[in-house]
Amino acid sequence: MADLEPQESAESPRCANPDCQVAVDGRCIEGFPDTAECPQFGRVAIMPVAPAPGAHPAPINGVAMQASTTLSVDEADDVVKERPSRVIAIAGPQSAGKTSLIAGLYDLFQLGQVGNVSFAQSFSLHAFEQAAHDSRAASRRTTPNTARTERGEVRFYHLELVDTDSGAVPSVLLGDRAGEEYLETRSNPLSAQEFPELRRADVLTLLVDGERLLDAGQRHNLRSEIRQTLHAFVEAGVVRTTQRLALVLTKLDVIRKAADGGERTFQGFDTLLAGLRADYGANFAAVESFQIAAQPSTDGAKRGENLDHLLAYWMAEPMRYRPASMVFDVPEAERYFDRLMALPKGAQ
Amino acid sequence: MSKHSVVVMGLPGSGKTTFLAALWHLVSEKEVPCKLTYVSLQTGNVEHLHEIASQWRAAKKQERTAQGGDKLVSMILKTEGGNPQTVTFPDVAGEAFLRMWGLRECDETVAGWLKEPGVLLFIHADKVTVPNWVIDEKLLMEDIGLPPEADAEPEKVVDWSPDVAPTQVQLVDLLQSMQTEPLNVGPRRLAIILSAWDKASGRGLSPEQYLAKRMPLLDQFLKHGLHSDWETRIYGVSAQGGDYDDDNTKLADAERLRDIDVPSERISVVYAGGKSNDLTEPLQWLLT
Repeated sequence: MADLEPQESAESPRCANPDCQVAVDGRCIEGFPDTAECPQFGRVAIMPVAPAPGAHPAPINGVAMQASTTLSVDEADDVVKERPSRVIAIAGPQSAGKTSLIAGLYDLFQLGQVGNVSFAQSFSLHAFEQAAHDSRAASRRTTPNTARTERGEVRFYHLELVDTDSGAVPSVLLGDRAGEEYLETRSNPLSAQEFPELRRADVLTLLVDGERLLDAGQRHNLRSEIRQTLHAFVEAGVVRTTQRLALVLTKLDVIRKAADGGERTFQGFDTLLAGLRADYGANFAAVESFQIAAQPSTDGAKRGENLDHLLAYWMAEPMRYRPASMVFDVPEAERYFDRLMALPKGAQ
Repeated sequence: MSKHSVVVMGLPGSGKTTFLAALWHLVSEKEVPCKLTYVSLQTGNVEHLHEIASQWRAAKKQERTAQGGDKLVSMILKTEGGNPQTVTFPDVAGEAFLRMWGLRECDETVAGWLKEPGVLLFIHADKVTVPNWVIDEKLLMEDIGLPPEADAEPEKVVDWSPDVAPTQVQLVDLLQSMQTEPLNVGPRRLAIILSAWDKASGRGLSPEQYLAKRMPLLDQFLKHGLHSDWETRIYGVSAQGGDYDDDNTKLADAERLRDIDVPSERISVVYAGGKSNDLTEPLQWLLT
């Protein structure tokens, strides 16, 4: 796909996205307030149609099918350009439950619709199956398990889903990156700028490990990690006011099994949420909290409990698709016709 | 005379060959009325048709297609008052479809067959691998008072491989492949055959309801993921009528079926609330 990268334009600034009229109205269709941040701005589109995500060279003596794996950043970009999409960044310390969340959601579709959302198709069926395997009986394990995400470039799980109420059919791209890489941004906030999923996300999903929040010895450190990580993202300038924030308490089943029924943990979560809202709420279009059990290991919660609420939040129309008000400089001119030549600010 | 081809798809053991065997008996013996009638056989794997139909009449299980290789059979059929049509059925071993799912590749000849506009997709109604979860099994054991299992030995843990995926996931992937490059040919008709329907019909569900209940992911895909210019029908088909003998066992069910004087009456086709012995029903729909 490297040969399909948009090229630097020597002409007047414009966008590689053919649907974006930034050169005319000054408004970035991707939602970047500063066009310099947009990876498409100032480049020209390459006309040849990119191969479908995951295509790979034909094997000898056979015909290649499309791959069925997670998508690279470039492949995810192609999806975003070609169809309505929801980009979801899922950040959190290691073992917070990122892969469990992704696999748990996929497994709910094995049994039917999730709330008002129906499965349509996926370019990542192999990857989903791999992620789900260790919690399935076919693995012959006696306790559910989830493989850890290795360090490296972010990969995106792809789902095409249908909102059966609105009829919207977006591609949902779930970013998966090793938790420790997000944690390291606390020491080096600028490193968050190297994580394209954060800047491009419609919903930034921060996971709070319920098991650690339950643990008296770890809960203060965990809350600090979450606060400092979000602070680093804000400081690095990778969050935008068009993004929504989801603060997600994981492992609900384990919390409910605590001697106090999880009361202190839920209070701790509410305190964390209130603090984040107060300090960073203005950086986001919305802040919501969720308590989930994606792949429970006890009978304290139903499998996939509350994932339908989180999915509905992810499925909401991104703010980047919503029209924004624009300020026009109407020139003083005697002829009305000349006043029609007004351009939005910054577009001259 | 027009020429049509129908590609026969399905995972291993999904009933493709049994369907062809019963179809050949049905149209060649003319024991019961059918929507399509037999005119003549084309050259090709004629021996294969005779062989599998012979097994079927004797109520003996078919040899796996994988052991005999992919077969291409053609016959000339016609509707009442219609023109004869050459209908070609590639009888592709289920392993070819496993390879598409698992290794993401398929043989060039098979890929050519998979571009036909009419698709018969076989699913063995009684052999659907459904996903089960470790936690559900663990809680079930606790509920019935069985002691918790010790942690599995590392060597007992089964690593992931594509072939452990649920049936519905593999079928969704196959159909997705049929509507993307390099196999995409635009609008198609898809007849889903739930084979061994005699094993499933006792639940009182229609074929559509059965598919939705046993394979919800596939059901969602058919409703929302299949291209809107595809047309789909779901049939419940019992081409055998019951269990057949294999090389080592004699079954009472097979004996009962051999006792039926008109072998075509073993066949049952359920669609849209109706029931018949006519296996040519889905073919006629695919060919019109």
